[in-house]
Amino acid sequence: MNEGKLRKLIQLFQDSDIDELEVQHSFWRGTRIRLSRGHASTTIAAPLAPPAAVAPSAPPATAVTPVEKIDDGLHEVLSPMVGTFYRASSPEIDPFVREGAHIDNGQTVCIIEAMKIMNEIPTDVGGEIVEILVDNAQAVEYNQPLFKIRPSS
Amino acid sequence: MKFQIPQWHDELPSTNTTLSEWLHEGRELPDGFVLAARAQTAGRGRYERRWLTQPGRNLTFSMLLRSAAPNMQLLSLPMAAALGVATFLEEKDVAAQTKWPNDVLVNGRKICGILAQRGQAVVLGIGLNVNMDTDEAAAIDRPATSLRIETGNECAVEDVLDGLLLHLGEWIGRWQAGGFAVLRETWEARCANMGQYVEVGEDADRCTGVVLGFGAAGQLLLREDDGMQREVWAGDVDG
Repeated sequence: MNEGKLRKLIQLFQDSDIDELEVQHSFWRGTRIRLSRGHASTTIAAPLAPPAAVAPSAPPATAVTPVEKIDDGLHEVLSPMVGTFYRASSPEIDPFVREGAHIDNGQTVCIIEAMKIMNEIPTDVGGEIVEILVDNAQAVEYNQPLFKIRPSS
Repeated sequence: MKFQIPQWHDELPSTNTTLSEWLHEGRELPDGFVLAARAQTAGRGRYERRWLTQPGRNLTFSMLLRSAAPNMQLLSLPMAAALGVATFLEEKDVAAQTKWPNDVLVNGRKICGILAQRGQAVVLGIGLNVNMDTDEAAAIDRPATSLRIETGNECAVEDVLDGLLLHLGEWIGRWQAGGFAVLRETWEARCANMGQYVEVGEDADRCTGVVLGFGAAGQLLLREDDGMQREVWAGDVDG
């Protein structure tokens, strides 16, 4: 998406009465736009361009720690890279976290494997794991929500 | 990059696990620290595969890299290590090929496995089959070989590690300076997958296609059956 189209999209959003717009282009193309007025959300996902013959990918990793966002008071831990999600460092041992567990800021919550590198993923918030959004050994996309956490008060 | 003199142990559960635990315990270990075991009781490959080590038979060790690399660059570190292993084998007159992203093969048989973990620092573990004989290789569920099988000679694993670290230091040093871009030419010349029709991944994530080459971070580029190009960031290659 070029700058002109982005400006037009923002203008359309501002002129509308919707509270939130999220465009999730395909995994392999990497476009993700989220506009929000900070209230209850309405999410619209729409492709921005016809499929290209050659599909560039979203970068698998652009942040050392996952980006987190607030939604209804809950933090969503987002995957910082494309890869495979693992709840434990090996099948024989307990998962890093379970739903209902209380975690500390900086605690490792999962592993994302990309190109044979097992990346330990920490959070930067402490609180309660409300929901685990991904199954073990499932492929995950860049910025895909992995956990919902209720931050400690 | 220059590695430290290896710290050898007769037996450890797994050099990667032990080194990671030491880091979590807060031990102050220098960049380039090398932990090696003559026997592993719980060695492991990617996620669930065990890497068997009887005393003195095969080489298992882990290296500590503290220097921070951007995530995108870090992805090709195991490829740099695989090239270091391949050039070391070439010095022993053993022609080796690489397999995306981090295996080393001799005549289509696996001789080396590499597993990297990143937490507070990067722990890079390598298992190289050194003195394994043909009976032991036959007991492994995938085609495997060793230095001994290929050359007919037994070697002391300590000597093998000393020689291998020189090659790893060379290739990891180049990688630190320029990422996958400086590996590309050698990687593509040695990679067994180039131009091959392969299957990658498992179950719902499985995809098939012809290997076109590698992206800027070392990711696999496939042309799928429908003509679309796809970038692959995880999974094992079969085919």
